[in-house]
Amino acid sequence: MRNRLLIAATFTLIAFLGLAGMALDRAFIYSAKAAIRHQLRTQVHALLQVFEIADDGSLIIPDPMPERDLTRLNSKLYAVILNNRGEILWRSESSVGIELNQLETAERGKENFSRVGEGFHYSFGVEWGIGEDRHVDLTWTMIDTSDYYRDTISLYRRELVLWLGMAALLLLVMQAVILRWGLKPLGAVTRELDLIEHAKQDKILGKYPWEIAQLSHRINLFIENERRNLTRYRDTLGDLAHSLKTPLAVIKGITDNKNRPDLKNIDEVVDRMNKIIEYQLNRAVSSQLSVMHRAVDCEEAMRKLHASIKKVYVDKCIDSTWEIEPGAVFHGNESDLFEFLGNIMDNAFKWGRSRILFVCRSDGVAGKGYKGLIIEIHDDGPGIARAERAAVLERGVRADQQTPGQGIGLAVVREIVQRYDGILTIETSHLGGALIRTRFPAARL
Amino acid sequence: MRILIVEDEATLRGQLTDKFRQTGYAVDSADNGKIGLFHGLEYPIDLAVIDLGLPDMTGIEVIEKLRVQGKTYPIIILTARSRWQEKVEGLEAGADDYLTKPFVFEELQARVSALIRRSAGHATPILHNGAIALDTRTQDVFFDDQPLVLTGFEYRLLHYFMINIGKVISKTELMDHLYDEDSDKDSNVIEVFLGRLRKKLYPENRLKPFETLRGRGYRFNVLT
Repeated sequence: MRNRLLIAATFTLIAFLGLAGMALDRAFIYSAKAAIRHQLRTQVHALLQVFEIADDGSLIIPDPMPERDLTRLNSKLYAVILNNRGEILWRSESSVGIELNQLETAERGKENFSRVGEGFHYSFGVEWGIGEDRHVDLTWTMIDTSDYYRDTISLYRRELVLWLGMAALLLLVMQAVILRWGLKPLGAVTRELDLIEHAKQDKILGKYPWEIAQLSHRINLFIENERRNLTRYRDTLGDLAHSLKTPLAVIKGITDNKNRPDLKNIDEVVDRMNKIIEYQLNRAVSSQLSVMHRAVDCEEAMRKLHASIKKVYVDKCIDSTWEIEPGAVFHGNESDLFEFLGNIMDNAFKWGRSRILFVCRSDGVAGKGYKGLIIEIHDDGPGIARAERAAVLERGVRADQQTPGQGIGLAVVREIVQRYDGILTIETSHLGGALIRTRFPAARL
Repeated sequence: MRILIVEDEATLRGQLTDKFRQTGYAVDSADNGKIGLFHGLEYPIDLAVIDLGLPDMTGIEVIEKLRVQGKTYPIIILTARSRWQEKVEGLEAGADDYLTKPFVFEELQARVSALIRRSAGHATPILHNGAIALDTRTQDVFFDDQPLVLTGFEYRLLHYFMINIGKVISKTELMDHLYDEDSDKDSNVIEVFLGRLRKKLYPENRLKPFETLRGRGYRFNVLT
């Protein structure tokens, strides 16, 4: 965003300074031309004061000339007097050998000023009285072909570009500083969101300027809402399952009777109903993936589950060992992690004979700074035959397709792993039994 | 053995009570958390089966309060909520096992007997004392590997003695653990059943494993 603003501001600045440069250039040219015109007019007026016409109509050339450059050869300042037919009556000594083109007569009392080639022509039409009743129309022309104008303009342009360039640079630096300062709160919000995603905090805590405070307040509301909704879905579905399963337990209490084989069918239907409820409840609850994923500490979840499950299987006296990388996190729903781990750990305790190994580590490949996760559960139980592995993983896509007696544990595990784009494999552990390996990819953000 | 069932669903509570009584347990039951907690604190319970979703007070609260009050007997959670977070919550509160509804009664019974056995410090489901063997899973009793036929109350009495071998057990304690609050308690019955048990185990009266300690109660001695 900062780059975008900086690029936009730079282009605006360039356009603005370009236009300003052009305007200043034009204004300067106009004023330079006005100055030359004024100078040439003054010089013509000076000539008018010193020239005279004899009664026979011939010009009386003054000596000395009011402008010394008019007598100096190739001085680039020339004076010419034309009659009303455009014939040269007089030309200054400075113009000797110089071809004077595009000389034009001016109307009586009017002045012309034009640029001819590299020089400027100023002409002034004058009615000159000879004696008492005669007069002639003369055009007094002053020509300036000096480099003064060009030099002044180019010097001015050089200076203009230099100063405008420096101003642009200064403005750009200031703009970058202002942007950095102005966008600082946004950076802080981003860092806070990062912390939320890493489960280091629950919501945006910092105090921000009004505009961003509105945004952060809404993000907090959104996060809060999301979590509340998730809890509500879970509670509602839990309540629903609860209210269905207790009556099922009552029916089961009646149908589960060895002396009443006629109730066997009902008993099987009750089992199926229970599995469907269980499976669909698990799916529904864990489908509510939070938009704002939190990172869940794997070690804590594993230790809690381990302590609980070990209590249940205390009779088996299983020796369970750990290899948990500190700080390994699962990017997702805490309940999904518990469900996933609970089921595979319970299986390990169920099938393991005397040893279980839990491995949890970050995946080596990092994506966007968030690492994937590998979880392995080894046991020394009977294992799962190579030929059966695919079937075990495929099993339980729908609870009602299961054969009686099969748990839905692994089906739930598979559902969760798939939802997080993970890969679940069954291998042979070095302990001799099954190795359930799950690889979760780096969090998608 | 005396167990407490805390379950708000009347039919299920009734079924459990009946089945446990049929299998030789003294059963107290409660339909809400508060009464359940009262029973759990006041009666000499050997094991409690507690539903998590209870009116007045949740099952978790009942378990926590029982543990805070120093009650160490095993507790099985009976729950319709089968998610692991909920199971962990219950086990962390102090329960020893869980069973999700609906369930097969034999499964619950097996877990109950395993927990009772474990709480008495026995590692295997078959309890031994000399030539006597008692299988807590099948409720079969053997003497010199020959099966013995016992009535429900005789089995209960022998079971209680088998998990308390060598300890002095007062008549009141026996009454408390073998009868629930609904039973008519008659202390002479203990004497009668003990006499029958002696005869069934040792018809020739060559050994006297049940020692009567005047004014103190009984002791089931270690047999070789």
